[in-house]
Amino acid sequence: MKRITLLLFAALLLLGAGCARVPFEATELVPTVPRSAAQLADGVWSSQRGPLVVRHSALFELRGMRVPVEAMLSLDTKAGEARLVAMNEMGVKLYDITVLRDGSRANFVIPDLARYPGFAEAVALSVRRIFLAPAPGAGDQLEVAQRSYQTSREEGGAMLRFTFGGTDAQLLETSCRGADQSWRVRYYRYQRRDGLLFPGGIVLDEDRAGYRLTLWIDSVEPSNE
Amino acid sequence: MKRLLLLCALLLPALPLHAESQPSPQLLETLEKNAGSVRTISSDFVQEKHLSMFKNPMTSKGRLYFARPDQLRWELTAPVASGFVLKGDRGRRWHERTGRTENFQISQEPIMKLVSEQLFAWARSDFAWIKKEYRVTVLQESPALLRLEPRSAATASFLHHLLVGFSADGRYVKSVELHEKDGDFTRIRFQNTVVNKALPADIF
Repeated sequence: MKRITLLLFAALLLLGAGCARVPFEATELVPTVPRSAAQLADGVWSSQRGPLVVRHSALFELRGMRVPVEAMLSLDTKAGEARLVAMNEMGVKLYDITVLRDGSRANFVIPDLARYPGFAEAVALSVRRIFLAPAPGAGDQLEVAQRSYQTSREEGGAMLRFTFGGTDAQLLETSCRGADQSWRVRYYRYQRRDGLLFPGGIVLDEDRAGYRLTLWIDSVEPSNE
Repeated sequence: MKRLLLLCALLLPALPLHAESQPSPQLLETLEKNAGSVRTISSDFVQEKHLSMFKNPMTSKGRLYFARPDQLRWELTAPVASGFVLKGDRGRRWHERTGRTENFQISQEPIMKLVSEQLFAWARSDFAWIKKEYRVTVLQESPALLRLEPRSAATASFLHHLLVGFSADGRYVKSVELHEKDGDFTRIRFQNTVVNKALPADIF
């Protein structure tokens, strides 16, 4: 129960239910061509350049409750690090959390949120799943269908699956199914702006806790750092 | 969350502002007098969030409407549309991401009740509240520029100070800066401000 509560707060404070309609159209699939698991993994949008700055808005949904959030994310997949700063609609900073592949650090959490035990760790979990890890790997098992690719591997007692498709064979979905976890992240509206390819929409469904997190990506730019 | 909302309330200016000041009581008396003559305000605004870790600020745009004694509309128009209206004891809020417009009774929602109390305390020039919440100093007399430091430790734990700048004639607020302890800050610049012009009834 405590874990579920943490997950809920993660979503709430990360960026922004049920498995309602996704507000993004599905990516148009095209015939596949020969590609390896390594090529697919190397082509994932978030690892195409150096550190990125991602501005987005998000919506957390749970049993009819809907909570919107504004956020900026500094993302460095090569270093395995992300830093999320979330604000309310009036620019008041709610939290600033650094996320690593295997840990996190709260740089700032507004006192009214800091009183919830495990809050920062819970936020970090959602950030990690969407932007950092698990990530597809060169050694994953590959299955090629007519219009999509799927790579998979078993990790930590759960089955990880990565689905690729579209004109750039981009990552369309990451899912994890295991005894103690069940979730998936879907990526939509891939677009190229100023040479950078990125998804315009992302949806995280956490089945156990029953929440959905939807992200609208406003912009992705190279980091100035 | 209450503290956060108090802070939000302070970011809804373009409202008459009054304060105590040892350096120049005449200035504050003038501001008080000017504020008392304001019946309505409409203004565009640009909100910039300056974060030390990012080169460029996060910019949002919006519009504010206020009518004495108890009507206020705060709305963001870009990049995401959202906002709320306070009218007497009732309220209405909306957000592009939720796709919903919700009506509510202010008295039945503790958070919005607190927000409305703060907003209207400022709108009605409630000096007792301002003095209780902040230490006010005058940084500049013309145009007036005030610095407000929170008195409570809880608020001070995340808010270092506010800077509130007035128009040349002292009738309305031109800018507000909310400075956090770590150096990050939010700046709201009010533009195209119009005072005492009749507002459409359906705006609230």
